[in-house]
Amino acid sequence: MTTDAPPLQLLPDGDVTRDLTPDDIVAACDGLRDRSRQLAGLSTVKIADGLGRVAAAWLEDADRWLVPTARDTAAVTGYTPEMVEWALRDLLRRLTPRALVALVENELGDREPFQQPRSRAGVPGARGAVPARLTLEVLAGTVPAVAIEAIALSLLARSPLLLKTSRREPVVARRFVHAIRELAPELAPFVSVVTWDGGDVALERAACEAADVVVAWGGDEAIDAISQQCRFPTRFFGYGHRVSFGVIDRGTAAHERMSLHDVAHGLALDVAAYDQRGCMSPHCVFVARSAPWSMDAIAQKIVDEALPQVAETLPRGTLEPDVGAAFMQAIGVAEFDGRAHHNAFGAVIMHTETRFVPSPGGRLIHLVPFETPDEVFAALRPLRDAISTVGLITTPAERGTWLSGLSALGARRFTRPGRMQRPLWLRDHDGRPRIGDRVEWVSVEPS
Amino acid sequence: MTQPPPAHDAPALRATESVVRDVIAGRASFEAGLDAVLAYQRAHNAPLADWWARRGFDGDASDWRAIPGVPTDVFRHVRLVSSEAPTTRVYRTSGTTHGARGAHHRISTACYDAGAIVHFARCLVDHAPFERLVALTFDPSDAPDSSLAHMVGLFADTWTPSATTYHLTPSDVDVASAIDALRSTTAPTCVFGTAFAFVHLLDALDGDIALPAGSTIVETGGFKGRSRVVERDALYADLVARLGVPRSHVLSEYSMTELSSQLYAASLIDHVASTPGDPHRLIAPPWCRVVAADPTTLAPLPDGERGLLRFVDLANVDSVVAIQTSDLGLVRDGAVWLEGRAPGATPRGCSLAIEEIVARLEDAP
Repeated sequence: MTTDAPPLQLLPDGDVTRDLTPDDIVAACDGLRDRSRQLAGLSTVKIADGLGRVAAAWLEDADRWLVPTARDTAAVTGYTPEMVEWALRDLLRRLTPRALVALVENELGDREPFQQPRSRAGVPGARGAVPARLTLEVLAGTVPAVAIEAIALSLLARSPLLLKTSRREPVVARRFVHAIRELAPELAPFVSVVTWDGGDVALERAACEAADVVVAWGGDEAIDAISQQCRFPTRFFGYGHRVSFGVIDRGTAAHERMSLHDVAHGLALDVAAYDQRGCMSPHCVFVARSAPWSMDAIAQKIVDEALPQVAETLPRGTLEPDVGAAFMQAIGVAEFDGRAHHNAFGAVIMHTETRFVPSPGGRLIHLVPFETPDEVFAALRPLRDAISTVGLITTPAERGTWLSGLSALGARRFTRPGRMQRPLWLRDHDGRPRIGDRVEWVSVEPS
Repeated sequence: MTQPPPAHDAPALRATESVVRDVIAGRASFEAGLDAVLAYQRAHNAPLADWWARRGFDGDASDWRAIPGVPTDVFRHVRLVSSEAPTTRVYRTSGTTHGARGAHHRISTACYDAGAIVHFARCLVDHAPFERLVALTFDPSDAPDSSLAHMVGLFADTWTPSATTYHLTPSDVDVASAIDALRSTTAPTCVFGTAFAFVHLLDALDGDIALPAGSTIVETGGFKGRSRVVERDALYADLVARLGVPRSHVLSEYSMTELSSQLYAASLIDHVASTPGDPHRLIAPPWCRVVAADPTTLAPLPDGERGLLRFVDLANVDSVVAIQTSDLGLVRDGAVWLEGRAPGATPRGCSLAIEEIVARLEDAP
């Protein structure tokens, strides 16, 4: 689903509704860069207050901001409005001034690292952060809340932002900037939101050449293409294709105090969030043959109870034809040998071999048996460095084995079922710091 | 061409085939045929009957659109054929980009054969009879598991028993012999082949050929798993320009291994009737009905809405009457517009594409 009309382009010199030219991009980048010193002069507290004010307004005056944004985003993405609203609420609740300040302190070691080089106890000399004069961030459109994160992170890193949204999801970024203009106008001059067709080399080159930092989300090919437009010393950070999965180890229930109900409902939420389109969406769950519950029991609980319950608050959206086709084919094959549990809310397919099984999305998860962690590691070897999140429940004794084995394969985040789609705000993403990548440092050694 | 032995030891199948052949001949209604086929398959195809039961389908033929379609991928893993008699034929898919080939087991191809001839005549031969058949397909005796080769062989036996040449070898298209055949023909000729074979033919063709007046071209799709894909309209324009056949005489054929019936573009029928029509409009035979299904729910969609095509094909007497494909299209007034195959679930954003995951897993040592 795409919108064909050119979207409103939020440019430094005024908004326009038309497709952009490379000259437009150059002018927008120049305008933003000209404001970089002004942004660098704002304090963390001021920026966090402004962002927090906007986030609070979206939640408190939801009928004006959150609800229509969710509705309009749903119309172009295929998600239900409830899904978009859930995702945005989940993020906005975390955008409090206190949390934003804490994020800066956590990642940059100081509340105001940009003001002047500061000394730290026990470390000779002083160090100060230098913001990028311009950041280009290219969004994929899969997870609407990422647009808001991009704006918040760039402002906290004191870098003016040229935010390129996909035609698939142009709504959230624009609405959030409109809210900033109204509720935190001191931050508004530092964000532009634009859209062009992905793969437009002339526009991408113009933007990449102007930016000090380029952040890109999406498919590996698209990210490769953007990275090729960046010239040294531009810093490029790509967040490409990743997969996630769960692990239910043996003897876990007593140690983790998770019941079958908890596991099933947690996995159902992980699968339902974003209709399983995100990189943190689990494709499959490796279940120990000696786990406290059989795969059949887990499957039944998920399908009969948990998925319908999750759908009450997070109804499934429409499936793209390719997803619907792959979903239907997978279920059909599994049904003939009695390995499928499914209904109108989603599906679970049980397997007999230890292998990674991809899901087409649309709330279909595979359960895969295993005897030992080494079997799982072997099954994941082909996906080395393409692993995002692991929903892990295991015993304290086995935890180290799983963490070291899966980290070596590229897994960069471990959590429990039910939290896979809700990463902690203060943590890295795909192994990268959220703000730290966007700044450089000046070191002042003792004279 | 090797004909399968008749199903003498399958009296119920013969009785059902008799009803379906009456439908094909226009002597019985679709509904009568559907009743007979559903009853036969419930009684003689246990895995199918069990699956229908799990889907809550009790064999009620009152709404053909509501019959659950067996997904085509199931044919890659499950043998779905009547147990009344031994299988005499197995048609296999030409292969996908990965995974096992689908297999359509048959006891009898009697209805397949009868229907294929009747519908090909209706869509092509009645309006543009041909005296020579140049097939860019396998000789059926060399490819007993190819339903396409079987069908073309059937046409050859019916219309050009001594004037058919085959130009597909296990390694490639024998373009030199095909070009020779096309250059030497002096009578109306039907050229039948996959899109992939036509691309190779045109690539190798030095200069143009003017096929005799009344000649026709039938293109059967077939880019699956191939690296080079050419837009169908561009291919047809090339065929018109370089083989000297009018656009009205270039027809698409749509079918698949899991079906027994074929759909043809209506361009020749429209041309003869002097009624302007969309050359992409495909006509199914009266014994094969098509509905577009909602990709999310698989519920039948209203006329004109785009969805995943589901076929209720009475000629699949001994296997599965309702087939759910991954092909996208829409149905309007019984005609079908095909938009192509829904690819494996494609990446939207940062989730790794299923095709890419499968490729990585299959490439692993």
